[in-house]
Amino acid sequence: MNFPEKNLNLDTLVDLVSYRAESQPEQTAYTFLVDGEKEAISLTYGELEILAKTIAAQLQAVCRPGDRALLLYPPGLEYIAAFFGCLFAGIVAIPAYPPKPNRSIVRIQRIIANAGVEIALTTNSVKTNLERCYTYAPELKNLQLLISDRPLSQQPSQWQKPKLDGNSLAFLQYTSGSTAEPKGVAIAHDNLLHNLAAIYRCFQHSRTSKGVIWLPPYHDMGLIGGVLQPLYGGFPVTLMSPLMFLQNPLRWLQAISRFQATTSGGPSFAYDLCVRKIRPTQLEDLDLSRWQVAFNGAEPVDYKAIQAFSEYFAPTGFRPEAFYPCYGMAESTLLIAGGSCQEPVKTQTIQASELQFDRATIGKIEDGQKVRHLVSCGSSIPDQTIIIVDPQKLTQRTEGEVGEIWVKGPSVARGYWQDREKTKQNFAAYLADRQDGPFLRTGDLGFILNGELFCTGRLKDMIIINGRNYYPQDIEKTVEQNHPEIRPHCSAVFSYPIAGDEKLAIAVEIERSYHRAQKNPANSTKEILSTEELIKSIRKVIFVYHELQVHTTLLLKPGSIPKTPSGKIKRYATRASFLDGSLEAIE
Amino acid sequence: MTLSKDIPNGKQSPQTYELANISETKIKNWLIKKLAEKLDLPIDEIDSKRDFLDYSLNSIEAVNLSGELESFLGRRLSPTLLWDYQNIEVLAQYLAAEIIPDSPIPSTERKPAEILPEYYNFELSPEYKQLKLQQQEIEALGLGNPFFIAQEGVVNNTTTIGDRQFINYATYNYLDMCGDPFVSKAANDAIARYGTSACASRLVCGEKPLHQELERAIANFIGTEASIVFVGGHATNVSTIGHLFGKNDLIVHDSLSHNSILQGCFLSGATILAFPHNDWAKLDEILTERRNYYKRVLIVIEGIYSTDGDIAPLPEFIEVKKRHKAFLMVDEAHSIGVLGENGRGIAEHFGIAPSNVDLWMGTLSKSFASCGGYIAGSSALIEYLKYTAPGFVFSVGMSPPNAAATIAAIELLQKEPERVAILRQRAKLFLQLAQERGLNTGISQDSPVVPIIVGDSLKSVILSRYLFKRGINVPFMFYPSVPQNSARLRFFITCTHTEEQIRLTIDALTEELAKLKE
Repeated sequence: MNFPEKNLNLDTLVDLVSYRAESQPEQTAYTFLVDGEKEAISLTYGELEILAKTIAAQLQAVCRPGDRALLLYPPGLEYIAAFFGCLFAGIVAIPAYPPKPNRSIVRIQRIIANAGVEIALTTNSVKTNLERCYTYAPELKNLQLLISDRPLSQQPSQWQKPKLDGNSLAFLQYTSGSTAEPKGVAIAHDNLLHNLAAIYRCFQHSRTSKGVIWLPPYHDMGLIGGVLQPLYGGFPVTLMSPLMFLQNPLRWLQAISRFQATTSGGPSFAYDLCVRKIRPTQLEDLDLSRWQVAFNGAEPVDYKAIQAFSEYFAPTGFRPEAFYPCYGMAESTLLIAGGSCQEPVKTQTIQASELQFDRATIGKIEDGQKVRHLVSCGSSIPDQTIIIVDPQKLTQRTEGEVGEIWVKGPSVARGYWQDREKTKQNFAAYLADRQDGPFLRTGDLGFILNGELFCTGRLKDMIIINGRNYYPQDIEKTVEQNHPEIRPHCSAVFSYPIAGDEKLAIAVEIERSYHRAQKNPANSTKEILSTEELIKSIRKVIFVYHELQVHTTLLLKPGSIPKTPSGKIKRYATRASFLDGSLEAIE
Repeated sequence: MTLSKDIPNGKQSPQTYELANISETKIKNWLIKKLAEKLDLPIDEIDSKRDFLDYSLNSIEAVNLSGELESFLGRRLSPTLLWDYQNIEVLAQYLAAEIIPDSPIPSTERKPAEILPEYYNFELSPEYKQLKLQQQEIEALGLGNPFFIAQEGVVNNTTTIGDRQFINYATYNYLDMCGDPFVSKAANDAIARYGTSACASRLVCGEKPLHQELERAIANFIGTEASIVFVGGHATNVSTIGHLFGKNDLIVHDSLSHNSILQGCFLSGATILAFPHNDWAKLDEILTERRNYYKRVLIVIEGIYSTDGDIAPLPEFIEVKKRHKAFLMVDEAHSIGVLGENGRGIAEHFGIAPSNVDLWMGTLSKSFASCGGYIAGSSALIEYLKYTAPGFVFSVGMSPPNAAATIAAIELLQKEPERVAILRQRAKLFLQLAQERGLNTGISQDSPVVPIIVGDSLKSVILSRYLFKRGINVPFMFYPSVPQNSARLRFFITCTHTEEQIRLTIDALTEELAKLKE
């Protein structure tokens, strides 16, 4: 394994922590901004190792190596210590969001059942929240709790080094899929070390790098990118809770400015939020000139958001070439592809109509032609193969052809925990003609042009009617642009089978003002479309622009369409609600 | 972990807030306006009593609204306000009052939609299913059920199971008092005189002269002002600790504490902390940091730890207890009758005045051939317990034969202190031979409890069964009785074990262990 310093052979993250604790015991590893602003607590590598050993000794007294342990923590240093405590004990960690008061804990219950969890590490205050759930989730009582923010009875000297190697599982990353059953991606130590080395290289990190991270530490980007990568590179990172960021996005940029961070980032929506919520007067004190890698991943990279951010924050010294679009997923540890640092973001304008035939035609764009601006996600990380595959025929596609993105390499995880069926489906794909494999099926659509990967959408969202491919986002955009009665970014297009044929359905949320006017036409000064007329009009524009017949049109109240926490449409979940009849159309 | 409020290389200071005092109505109006803005609704459609959840505000905007509230009110707020408080009314009230409750107000109580069969049919309960699962696991080993094996006759250095005799290490009849004719006769005489039960609580007409005699004998033997006996050893700890300590108190116990101590702690409602085994320095640290937050503090340790067979460093604990003005309780279940020249326990072992410990606890089922437990200490403490301890007041008094047997055993022990010396010598021999063979005896020292640690649970079960086949009865212990990675066989040595039996046992043990390793 390629390591930043020397040619050290590290097999596991336990070795890595011990190495850092030995070679830089006094160096600050993690600083956590408790209030997102002033109050800072920190942990050195030496302290981290002692905490990890103490928690590990405590775990070893009650668990067997290979047991799974749930981590239920608010973001912070306790969470990090507990995570490493699990690794030091040879226990498979399962990061999860801690239970919120008055919120469902179904996800936690499902993870416990799926992973056969018998013990959870947590804090005293989370324990109180957990106990409130006992009345309606009695099985939680059987969960043994290790409260790690209280004095522990074991000492670090009682820790026994477990037998681990690169093949040992480090943690299970439960994916937040829209389907009911969560899937636990099994990540081994060698997956982590491979991906960490790749990130280190692609992001051009060094011992002088400095990180600032507000991403939830329970997911791949926050955990691997935010917590493990700084440890791997031996550079300091300042962390804060995502809630502190969402509450006031200025705190993120203030921290970057104050700690002179060189590396920081998040999904596209985070950059967008900064532009929307930070006032021009608040830019004065910000210095973003040292920010070298502004990574942007985890959701489709929006070129407009990148442009808007670069322009808005130009006065702070932010350099547009710092933007670093990348592509990855938990099934492949974290990073699959990334651009090259110091270079401007690469984009491609393609004809939307050609995408229907799986072609990413560039060429000349004529006036009035529908186009899409796509941002390059860069090229594959080292020692890895990315290919584009026809998702039906399972044959490889050539340069510039769109298909499902398949990945093969040492970062691809071991599979889904206790789910042989889905593991076989997603992790063991073979090309039909060459029997080449096994590949990871990402479920994402894209194409490769001059070695650069472009993502075009999700395979399961793709609409195929009469052998032609339609991207739902294109149709949604058409409908929204032509109807002020429809809320922007609040429509979902999908298809469903009727008598063996795929039929198109569209669900749109109508504006509150339209809804009100509908109910009380007398109060309105303008003439308003009836709902029948609106539906007719929607069908018409879709036909005009896309030559598609709409089978079902649903007008919904605001807030009806399922979305991700960052506001992205969940088309697949909308389709599921439609099929089970839980989408309520207005009269 | 270090705490610092300094900001490295801080050029600009983070946002500062000016404190403002804003009325509930103002906050309410502000919230209504903001919510209307974010949802694109006219102000009159915002209902201040409507649940925030019903407005379908996305979570980013909900958290962000709390940030705007921060700027409006000029102070820091929880980012999850709109999830923690049900509606505008409740939130405005909370914000105006500036009182931070311990926990957010739960908005809706969830009720299960139906009552599942597992809630009223015990066979279907998850706990019972779990037990069945564990039993299946043991059964799968094909070694038979190792639990509840009936032992014929008196158990000491030997035992009879079925019609076969075994060398026995499974009993804590340390001093061979159980089965001794003098002790049995005392019990028989008591039955002849009082029958087999006290037939009432001692407080109310269940008292017998025997009870008074017994408690005097215990107090005299230990060297305290008074003592009280309970009908169960486990119940003695649960009832005493649970009764004496409460909400504003702290109980600090050894990490290897017996279940009865832990149950007492839970029952008490006090704050409970464990310190690493025998680590009085750590205890000292904990109390230095926390003593002031509590009213009473109880430290609980044991004379001899029943799974590891080592002894608490009592003199150091007494120093710590005195330094922090705490109560000290010593559980002598396995050390009374065993430690010290005359078997008077750990105080005699260390040559310490018994008054240094506030609560002496012990059981009557080990060295004293009976059943039950005692607390010995000051007359005030004992008097209070006798009138108020639930496990004493609301329980029948100790049965006359049990009381009489204990009195006789104490008397016999004082007449024949050599039983203690022989026990010590045999235990020492066992430990020494085991160590010479390189067996892992853990931290056992100067005690008749000697574990042979094998690590793996399955290994301990197999080893126990192999020895059984060779005529040696010794039980295995594994998680949760002992840590997951230190499963063991636990040997109780008694004063009746012969040197020959011990040598034969160590030989067999060494051979079987070697076989297991192959």
